[in-house]
Amino acid sequence: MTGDTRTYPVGLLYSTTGTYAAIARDALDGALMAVDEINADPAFPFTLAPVAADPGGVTETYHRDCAAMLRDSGCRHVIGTITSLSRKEVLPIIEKHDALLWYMCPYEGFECSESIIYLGASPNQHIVPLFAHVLPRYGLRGYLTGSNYIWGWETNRIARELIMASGGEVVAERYLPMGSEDVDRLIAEIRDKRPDFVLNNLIGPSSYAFFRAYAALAAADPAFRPDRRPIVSCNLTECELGLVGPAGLGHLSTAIWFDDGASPAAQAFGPRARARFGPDRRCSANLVNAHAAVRLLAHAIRDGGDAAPAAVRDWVCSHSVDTALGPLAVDARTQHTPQVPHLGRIADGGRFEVLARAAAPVEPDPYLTTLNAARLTQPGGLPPALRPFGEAARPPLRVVTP
Amino acid sequence: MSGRRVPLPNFHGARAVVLHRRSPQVEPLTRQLARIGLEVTTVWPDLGADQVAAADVVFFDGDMCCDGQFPWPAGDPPVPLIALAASEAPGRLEWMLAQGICAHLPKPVGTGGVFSALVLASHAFAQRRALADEAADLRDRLRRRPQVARALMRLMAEEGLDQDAAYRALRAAAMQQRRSIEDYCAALLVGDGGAWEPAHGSQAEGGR
Repeated sequence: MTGDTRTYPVGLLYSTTGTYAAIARDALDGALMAVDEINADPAFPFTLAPVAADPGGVTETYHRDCAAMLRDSGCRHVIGTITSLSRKEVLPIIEKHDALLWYMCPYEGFECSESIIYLGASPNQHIVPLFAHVLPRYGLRGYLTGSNYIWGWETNRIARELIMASGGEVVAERYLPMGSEDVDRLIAEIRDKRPDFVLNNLIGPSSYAFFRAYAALAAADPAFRPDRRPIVSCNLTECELGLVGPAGLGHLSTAIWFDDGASPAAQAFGPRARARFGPDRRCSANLVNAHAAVRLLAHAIRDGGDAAPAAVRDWVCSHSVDTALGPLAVDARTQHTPQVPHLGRIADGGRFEVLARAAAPVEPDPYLTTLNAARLTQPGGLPPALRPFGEAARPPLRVVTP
Repeated sequence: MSGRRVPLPNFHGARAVVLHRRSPQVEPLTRQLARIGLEVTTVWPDLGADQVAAADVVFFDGDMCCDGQFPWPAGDPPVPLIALAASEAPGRLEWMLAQGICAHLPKPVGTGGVFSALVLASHAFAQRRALADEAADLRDRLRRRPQVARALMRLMAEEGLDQDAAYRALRAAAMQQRRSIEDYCAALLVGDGGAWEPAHGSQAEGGR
């Protein structure tokens, strides 16, 4: 297809303003970086024309903006949405137009649409490996919190199942309205109940406020220092560390990438990213995965010879493409993607220290069909794929109350 | 339930409340309900008790609704409840079930399926009500069984009847007074059952 000099409009639907703007801006940066690279590369004779829209984090505007991309701009592919609410909001119109949505965020699973390519982690690639690490090391009494919508509800539900199956205790499960920074009651309850760890599914300003208040608690009482009672997250990446500030130091998160330049693919990507974004920029999984989405699309158009969504879908489900994340091949059965879970600890300089990374990509399992929750904390109880960070250093802690 | 006839469904003049923010995902629902003959009110996020009292069916957002949003005791809706949901996450399904839904429509809601959902929900709600009434009646009778036993023993002692004969006598007397055996025995024990008057006829063979 060296003769294909057409221009393909590609929708980039990210709320670069609003509650989760930090994540969206990183995603947009990654997608636009990849578009520019493809357009500058003579090996890709066609042109990708980005069509960006900012729904402002307002669920109701996603449908309108996505419809404009499909109807007015002629997009057949839309890369975008951060929250599950917005993904579900645009899915009907994506399906109606036989278009393809490229979704690259970690999410709560239990969905498989043939009109979506899922590049982000599903629960067996985020909360399960995270808990397989955290529960045996810090204890089985968890405090669950989140923003009041489906990501928090559902991730906490899985967390509760994992904790209960391990014989642990959910000391409380609390939600804040999206955008709320009213974290004082959460902190008071945590100080009172002294859980072994806190699972943080808060998003945006709520999460930043929570980290700050928890750090103040730890300053007053060393029992709440991160090495004793960490905050653990499944969606915290480099792009929000500046907003979390020093309060985040020492706490844990899992993602399919942390920017430590460890792999050859990451070493190739890092200099290009820093040339574009400046020497201090740490690239998050959001940036890198949105970049990967554009590369998958471009390769499918060139090597598959057809930009139609159905043809592109078939191609990416049967071929591997080199990305900053390493070679990516979408699983044809689920249209989700094998990814490598990483476990990171927040370090200074807006980066994560990678404590562990899976030896190989973990196959996606969006309906958690292969999980036996009861075996999470048993040595050798989980298949290695669900315990990518290795076995516990010591046996599970049992909390005995006299 | 095979063979039981469902009355021809007619929703003309019925009133539906849709608890959902404005969204293209549910717009066809409102139009379709109007075609089916319902009057529709759309509200979000506050659902008033007066709005529920005036409604025959409530549709709600299964993706976004949360505890405390319904003005009725948790899990006991006063009208058929139909979920509108895009999410199939188990936690959401669990929550919707806990609310006592009678039917479910996947989002985006089209025109198809709305009528079926109304019929299924009305039927399920009526069936649930009937079963609940029956269970309440049975629980009540179970609770009053000691009274029946006391009445039975008294009758056996006073009339020199064996257990079966005494029971047949009590049942026949209750039937004659068109009361349940529990009501009859309760009345008998407080001396309000009239004098002990055994029924006549073959089933009252234990009578005086």
